[in-house]
Amino acid sequence: MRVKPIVLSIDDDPGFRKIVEAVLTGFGLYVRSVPTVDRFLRLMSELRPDLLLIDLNIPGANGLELVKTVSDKLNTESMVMVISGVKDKELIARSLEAGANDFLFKPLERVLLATKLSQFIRTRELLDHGAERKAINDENISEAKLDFEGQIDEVDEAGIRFRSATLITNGTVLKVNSELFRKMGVKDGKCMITVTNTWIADGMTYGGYGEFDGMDAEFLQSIRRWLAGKAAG
Amino acid sequence: MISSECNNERLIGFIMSLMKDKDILIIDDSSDVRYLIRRVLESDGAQISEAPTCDYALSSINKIVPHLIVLDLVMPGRSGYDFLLARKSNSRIANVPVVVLTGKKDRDSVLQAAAFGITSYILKPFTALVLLKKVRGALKLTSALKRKLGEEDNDCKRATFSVKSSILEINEGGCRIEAPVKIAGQVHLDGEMVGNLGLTELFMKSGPRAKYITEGRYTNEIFFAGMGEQHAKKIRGYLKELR
Repeated sequence: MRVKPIVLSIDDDPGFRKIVEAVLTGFGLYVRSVPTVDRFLRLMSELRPDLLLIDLNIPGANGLELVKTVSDKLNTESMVMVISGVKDKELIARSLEAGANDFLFKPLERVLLATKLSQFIRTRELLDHGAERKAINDENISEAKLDFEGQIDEVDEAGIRFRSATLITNGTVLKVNSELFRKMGVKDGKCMITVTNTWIADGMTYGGYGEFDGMDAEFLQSIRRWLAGKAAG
Repeated sequence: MISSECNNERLIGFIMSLMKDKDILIIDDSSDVRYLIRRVLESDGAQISEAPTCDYALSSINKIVPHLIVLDLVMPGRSGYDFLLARKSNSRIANVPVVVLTGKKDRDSVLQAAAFGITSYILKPFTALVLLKKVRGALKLTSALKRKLGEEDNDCKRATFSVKSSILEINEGGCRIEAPVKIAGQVHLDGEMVGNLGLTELFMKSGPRAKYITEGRYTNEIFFAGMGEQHAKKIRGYLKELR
């Protein structure tokens, strides 16, 4: 186990590299930053870093490709954070899909960077203290219901628009449990939806639309009664 | 040839979806007319409810809010005009489109009804084709009811989403799961193994490095927080048994 977590950063701007080195060293991390992809990849196999900071807009290189290459090579304990000079949500979404864990925008806010780093250090400690994990191969016992939180933003006759920090794959069938449905007269407050669309809502949350799935006429009528009752009131 | 068939199918699909499962309320004193309309509209996939009088119709709205109302203007007792007047001040149905039925010689009454904001009219006697055309046309014009949740809904807009996942690896520090989501923040797991291990009472938080596998599925790291020695012992014992 290494004592000092290693950070490797790639950015073509020397001024930016300096700032990153200063902030990260202040956190007790060992930092190396480089301007080119070649040196980045060489150092990566040499140092086996714990955290990688990747600038998505390096001239002469494809940032997304790099994220993908890096994610495929890394061991699962390492973390990839992408940095973008433009607030391009599409680009961020694709880099998250390519394997990035987190993202930051330039100009870099020191406080935000510091918060993300301390989060990273904490999770690293947890991982280091964990013993070897045991693989579960029996499907009967490995199945588990996963719950996560979100918020409903809009309701229509066919479904709900919602927000969550968790990204849900289109086509996923989910059970939704909310006080809102109870308020509408649905006794157990639950319904099923199929997610048909997702997008980045803001910062760290995703938006999504889910169509009611396999709900009976009584449920749909409860929704309609509530919507109609509110429409003019 | 093939493409035109496809287009027809898409068109039919569109028309069917327009009518499918839509609640339509027929208000007419003649049970024969109601039966006729029901037959035609039901064949298109609509859900029909009938009312022989205006009063009956108004009370039925408390149970079912229709997507469309077919209304006979001339009825004994309270007429179709009375219903249109009542509709204006009833928030439930104020925006529900109305198609009125009226006798052929009674074009003036259509103009009168138009003042109440009807969507279209059908002159009696009518054919099935005219009925379908008018009703489909009226449904096409109406948009689905929709509501943004505001401040007043703050107490109830929180939701818990549940999805099936499978646990790939576990130890006393946490587990790795596979699911069609990339999780962030606090989560909760429930199932046979987690239940047996008494882990459902723990806090669980997503870790870094969720990884995309294939077909929209991810592996996610989950950390257990609030783990006591008792839990840890249980997990170690359980894992030994599995071996």
